[in-house]
Amino acid sequence: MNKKAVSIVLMIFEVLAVISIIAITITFAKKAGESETAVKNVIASDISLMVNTLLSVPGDAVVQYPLIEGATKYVILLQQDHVSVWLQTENQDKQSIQTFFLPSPYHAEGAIEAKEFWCLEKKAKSIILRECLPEERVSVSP
Amino acid sequence: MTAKIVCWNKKGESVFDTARKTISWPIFGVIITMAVLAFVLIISSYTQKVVEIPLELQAEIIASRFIGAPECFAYQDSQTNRVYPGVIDAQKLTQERLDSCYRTASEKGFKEYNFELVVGDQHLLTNNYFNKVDIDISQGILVKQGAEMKPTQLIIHVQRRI
Repeated sequence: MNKKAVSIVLMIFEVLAVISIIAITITFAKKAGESETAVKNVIASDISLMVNTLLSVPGDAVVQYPLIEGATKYVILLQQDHVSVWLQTENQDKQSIQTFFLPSPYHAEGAIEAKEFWCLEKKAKSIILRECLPEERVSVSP
Repeated sequence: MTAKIVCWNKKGESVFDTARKTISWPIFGVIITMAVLAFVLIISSYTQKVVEIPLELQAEIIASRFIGAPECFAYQDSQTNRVYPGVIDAQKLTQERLDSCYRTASEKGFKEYNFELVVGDQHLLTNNYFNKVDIDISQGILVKQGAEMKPTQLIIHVQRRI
């Protein structure tokens, strides 16, 4: 190969390298911008705060979580001292966890999987996460 | 006049041309990798910051149980079972009651919200409160002592995490 051919090959290589760097940066930025981790953290924090709010409400109550886009892709598990959120398509070890502390006679339980309407119910000394009944559903997104 | 030394190979190419490319590409690669990583970190932290729930709101919601839940300090009429949020039963204002109302994990509980409640001259602390005050919450309440209702201030010192 003569010198001119070598410099053209090098130039093509450099252009390809720059294009791939730009593509990688945009892909990373897009992934970070649409971060599912952040959404999972927000859902876990919201549900934890809803549990805390229900604790200070005298009597029984039901509250619906505001409708979110793609709600059916999440799995939510409410347990005695924490709530875990993960995607149906991923392993449970990628879950977001938020802890809370219940007064002694209370207990929390429930799970949501592939459901659009999520409800938290306070009934006597129980806090239950479940799918909203048809008459409880409010179809207004935030 | 300065002497310029240029080395040529058999094909007549400058050895500096080849060396320049060989040295510059690894340096360029390292810089680009660091720039991409920094970019990703900045965007991730920005996303987290945007969706973060304010400390004051979280603390107020968690602390609302102290004056709203009969399992904590809220007064409950023994005859009607009606709960009076915002009215504290003076008999319930004990450390044992606070421990059963809000108790963080004994080992890692210092990472959670902890509180010091001040009502008059009475101070009650949650189990992992170490006097690191991040914010203060003040609420007007009524304290029920026998047949008497006395207006006072509940001051809550909030420790976010240590």
